[in-house]
Amino acid sequence: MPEFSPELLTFLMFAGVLVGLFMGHPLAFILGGLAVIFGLLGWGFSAFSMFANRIVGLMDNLILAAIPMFIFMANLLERSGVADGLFESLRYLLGPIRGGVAMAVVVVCTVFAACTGVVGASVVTMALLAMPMMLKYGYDKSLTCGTICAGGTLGILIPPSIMLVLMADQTGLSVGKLFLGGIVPGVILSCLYIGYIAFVCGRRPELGPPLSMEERAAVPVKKRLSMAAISLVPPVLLIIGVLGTIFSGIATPTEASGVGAFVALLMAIGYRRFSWKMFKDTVLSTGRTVSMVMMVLVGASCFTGVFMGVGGGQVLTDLIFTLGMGNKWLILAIMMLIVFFLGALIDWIGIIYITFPVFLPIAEKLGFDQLWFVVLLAVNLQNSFLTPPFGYALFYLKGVAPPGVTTADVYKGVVPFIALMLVGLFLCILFPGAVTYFASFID
Amino acid sequence: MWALVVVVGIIVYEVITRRVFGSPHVWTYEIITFFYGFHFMILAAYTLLHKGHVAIDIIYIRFSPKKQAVLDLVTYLFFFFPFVIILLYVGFDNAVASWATGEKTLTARLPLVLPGMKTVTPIAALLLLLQGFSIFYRRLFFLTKGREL
Repeated sequence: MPEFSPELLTFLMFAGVLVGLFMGHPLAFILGGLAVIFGLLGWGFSAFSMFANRIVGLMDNLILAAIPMFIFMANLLERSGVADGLFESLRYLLGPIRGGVAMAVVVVCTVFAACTGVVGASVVTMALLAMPMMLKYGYDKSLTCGTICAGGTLGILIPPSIMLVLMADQTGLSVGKLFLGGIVPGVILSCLYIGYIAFVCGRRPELGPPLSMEERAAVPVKKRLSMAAISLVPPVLLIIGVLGTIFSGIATPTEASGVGAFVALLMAIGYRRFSWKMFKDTVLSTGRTVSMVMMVLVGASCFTGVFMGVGGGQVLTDLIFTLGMGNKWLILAIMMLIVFFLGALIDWIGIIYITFPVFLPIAEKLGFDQLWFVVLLAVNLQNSFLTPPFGYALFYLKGVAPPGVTTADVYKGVVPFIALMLVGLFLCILFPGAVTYFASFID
Repeated sequence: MWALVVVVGIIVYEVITRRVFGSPHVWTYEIITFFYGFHFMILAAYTLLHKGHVAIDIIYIRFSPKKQAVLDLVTYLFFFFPFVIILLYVGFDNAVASWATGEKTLTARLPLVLPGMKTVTPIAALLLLLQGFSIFYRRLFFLTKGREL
């Protein structure tokens, strides 16, 4: 068997991912297939016994078992109409302000994000809910698309988030600590979005006109407040319940996720949305989402095993140190750039699996706080949903958008929000306390 | 056959959620992880059937249906089948070894759980392989006969 240099193999493995993606094959099997091909090239047949162990490692894993239940909870909430009621009331509450409906979207996404932790669910829900409404009120198409994509993506950062669960599993940090670390950056991003919407709509009201007088008169202020309160209380209680039990140490994240799913089911019954058909649909759609996420994990896990085995990790580490010239902030910037560019190509699961084994030792060597570093990556990965060509939030949005909205509108709309995410990332780098302060309260 | 997988998925969900409320015995955790692992692996083929695995079609959809079929055939040959066949092979080996030694779980010393879990990999791989064959055959049929099967 001919010898290949680790540099060449590293390059070819990434090139292979790109080629496979462009050909429209599922990511999970591209990663797995490449693992097989390059396992053979760089290693021989003995590489493959590792696959079985890695997969059993993913299955026999109590931390990751929280993922399906959080997804189940999210799907139940989505179908119980929590977001509908919340959006409806906030629309009237914030509607009189310029850009108010867009702000309502961000607020709903922030609250909804805190209950779900799945990007697809919140982007699709908000797109179906808010998009026709915003376009009807004469909101700018690009602004509408950008707001929904960026807001929906918050779900992956604001706890409970399945991304943070996966990161906890990869790093050995506790899920509770990561959840606490993710709250403030999530709120910062959410505030940045609202501030941006207020700013552009303030300067150019035609982008986001306020509600008309007639519409405002239809619902009195007092009724608006009570509507908002009624729709806000149950989801907030659920969040406090789930996160509270995790933070206080009463339950493990896995148990809390199971209880959360059960409470979400009770809420669906309470909102009179429950039926056996709805339950069956939810179970099935959850199964598909879970399997989708987990199979990418399976593929990525095998891919990374081979990637590290053929020396790709060392190649990447050398590259980072060479480019960084010994300056730790430059090295940090390079790592963030790598994640940013990978984010334009593959999804967060693959990125976490490929970069963590390489980046974590580097960060440790440079003396960065591990929690802070991991949350920085989580904030950075927000971009991976929005950056073209392969931003997953864009696909979700385009999939449910009304016919008049073009791909160009969507792409144009997310640009300012990508910039805002980078601002948020920069703020977290500048003020590490935003990440670490709350997390320091629990061990 | 797929209906069976679906039913299993539902049962697994019910069991997972119910177990979590049970009293905190060590063995429940091991059962939970077993059912969680079982759930996502077995549903992989079902998800494939419903085109649920995340893929990027931004360029793919610009091709003609014939070219799409060719792309699918190539990618299934290069990526899908090697991976799934290897999974079937190593998963089978692993499961056989586990049954032969009668592996027990580390904490609660439960028998059957670990061998059972290791058996899931080859079964899931087999289901994926069958579903993969079905898709491959459909695409080939479409390419040669010019109509969907």
